[in-house]
Amino acid sequence: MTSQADGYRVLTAAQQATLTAIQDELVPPEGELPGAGESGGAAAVDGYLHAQPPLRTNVLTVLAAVDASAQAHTAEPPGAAGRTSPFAALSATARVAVLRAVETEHPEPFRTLVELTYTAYYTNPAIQALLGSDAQPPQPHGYPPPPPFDPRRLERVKQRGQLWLDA
Amino acid sequence: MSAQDGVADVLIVGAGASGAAVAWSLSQAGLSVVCLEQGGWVDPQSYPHSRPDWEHHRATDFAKDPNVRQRPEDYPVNVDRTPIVPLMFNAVGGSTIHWSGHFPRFRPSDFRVHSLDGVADDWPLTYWDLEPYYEQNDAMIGVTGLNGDPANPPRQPRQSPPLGLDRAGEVYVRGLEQLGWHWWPSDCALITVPHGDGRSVCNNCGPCDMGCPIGAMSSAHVTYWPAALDQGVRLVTHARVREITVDADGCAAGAVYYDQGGNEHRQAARVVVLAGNGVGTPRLLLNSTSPRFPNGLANDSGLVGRNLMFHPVAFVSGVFPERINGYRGPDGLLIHCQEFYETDRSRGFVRGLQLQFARDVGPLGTALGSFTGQLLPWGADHHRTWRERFGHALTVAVMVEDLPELHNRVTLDPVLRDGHGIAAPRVEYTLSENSQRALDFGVARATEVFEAAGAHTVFTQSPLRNSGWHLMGTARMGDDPQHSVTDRWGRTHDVPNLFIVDGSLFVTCAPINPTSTIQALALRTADWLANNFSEVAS
Repeated sequence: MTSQADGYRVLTAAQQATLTAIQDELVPPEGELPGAGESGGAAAVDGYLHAQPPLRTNVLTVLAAVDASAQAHTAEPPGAAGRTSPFAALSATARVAVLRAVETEHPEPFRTLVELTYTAYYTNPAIQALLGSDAQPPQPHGYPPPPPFDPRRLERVKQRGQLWLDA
Repeated sequence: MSAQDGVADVLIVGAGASGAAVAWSLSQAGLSVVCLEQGGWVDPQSYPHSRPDWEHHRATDFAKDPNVRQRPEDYPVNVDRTPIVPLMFNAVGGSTIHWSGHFPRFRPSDFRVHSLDGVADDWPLTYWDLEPYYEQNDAMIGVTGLNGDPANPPRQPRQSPPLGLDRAGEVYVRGLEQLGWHWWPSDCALITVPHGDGRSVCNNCGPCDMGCPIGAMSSAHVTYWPAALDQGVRLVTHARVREITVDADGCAAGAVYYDQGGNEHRQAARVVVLAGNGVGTPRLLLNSTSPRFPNGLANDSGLVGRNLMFHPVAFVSGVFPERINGYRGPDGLLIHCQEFYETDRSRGFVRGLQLQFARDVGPLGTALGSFTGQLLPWGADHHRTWRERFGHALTVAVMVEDLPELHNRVTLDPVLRDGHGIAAPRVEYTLSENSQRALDFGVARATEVFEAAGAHTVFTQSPLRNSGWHLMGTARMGDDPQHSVTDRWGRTHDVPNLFIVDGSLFVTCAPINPTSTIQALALRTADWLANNFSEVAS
């Protein structure tokens, strides 16, 4: 696919809007933590789909199914009031109901979208900073080593005597 | 010594654990050595440990599964007929770049399975034949461990002491002491005190399986290879071998290989040593056909590719109320339990298993379900569940001894090809009832440990599909040419100047990680070859 003016390389504007709204339901905002959608998850998923084309079918299946289901929940015609995503226009309760229904109908594609959303969220440096120092990459600092091993901890095991067969 | 007239004394195919050890040993003995490796050097600074998306790379372009990773140097493997996927890495250092470095030794009984239990076969050598080479290998690369384990024969002190028990270790020991079972600090190919040039000691970062960016892991590219190159070994990278050629007498003459640009080259040698792995080596032998060897090289027995053994693995994860920080610390350097190692027929299976007490994953791995793959819920409960899991979980690997079966094998796929058009391997494998029973037994024991240690939730995945770390048995050694591919020195019965030194040689596989034994066997073969080179090469 060719590059688009908004920097996305796979998803259309309408698909981006739907995906962002979905992601904010999958990983909703809580306290200081933003939702997965508002933290830029759609752009990250677009990058995964660009790098790994076999993933596209599953993700696009979910987006289409979600919007089709959302359209059935609303009386507004597609694109009404300038909205590009029928799903984004639903109430929070209705969004969850739509997602549960799509998850039941398309379990494998839905799991793919959840996995990619989690991947985008937990590899986001801004999210890692909010989750604390142990959510940072393991290098270059590593972690402090524990104190030296105390061999006295093994006295009970040693007292059992030879456990291997001299075959 | 340099190769004369373009003919090397010894050509080694593969620069991983065994190829590196053989290259070092033979060059030290003064032989001219050329090694062909289909991968290249991997810059440790390119490992993903310092990147925010390190866990994503761990699962994609830096994965252990070549079918997922799909680098140009990888070859595809048809895995449609196996519940366990073979894992490997193609580079200088091979799969010792992508490992946890568990470094146990086989026990004496592991070489006498038929005599003890009436199944499989005995090895044509004993533990004591191999012992000096275990010691030589440890001293060369640097191993962490603690003497005095009553479950294993005495041995020389390791080069590094183990790390102390951290929170993860204390949790496991709490359960094991309550049960009264064996446990011991694991042997690990990693250094906690200085050893070797240019290597740093472990800084406890955790994900060893992505490669060690500071050289603390005793991988072949930071241990054997620098020394082997200093001794004059010529290492040719990005050289994919198509076939081993033979002369009119049926002796190995060298290899035909392709460079990165697809150009064909030939390397002649007086002796050829195969050091791939339990999939790559039989693949190369089966691809090396000729009028003398129409069914593949060194395959008069029909056993090349057969008797494939994995170590079937189950993961059992426990979640605890207290914070454990299990993502800290090297995966291979904690503790293990060999309480159920030897045969006890009352358990319903023969041979045994080991419990490896492992650690935990990072923030993304937690969301994706840790080692057992059960995704955390999405929606309103997501953050709460993540907080309950991240840093609160641990995973035990139940590793069981597989037994050799003829129908478990590596063949050439009739359709699949690698990037150079060479027939790719197909793996056909069925998990035996014996291995399944051993897994079930081990899962129950691991669950007992977690319950005794205070876990409030336990998850299981058995067998684990992505667990084909250990590829063994597909060119077994033995004294009878009708029932084995090589003799006790790794010399093929059918081709007197062709040797095999990787995990393909294994007659049986014990329930523990094989690399320590692979490298000891390789050093033993190299020692014998150096002492008998004139006879072998004539």
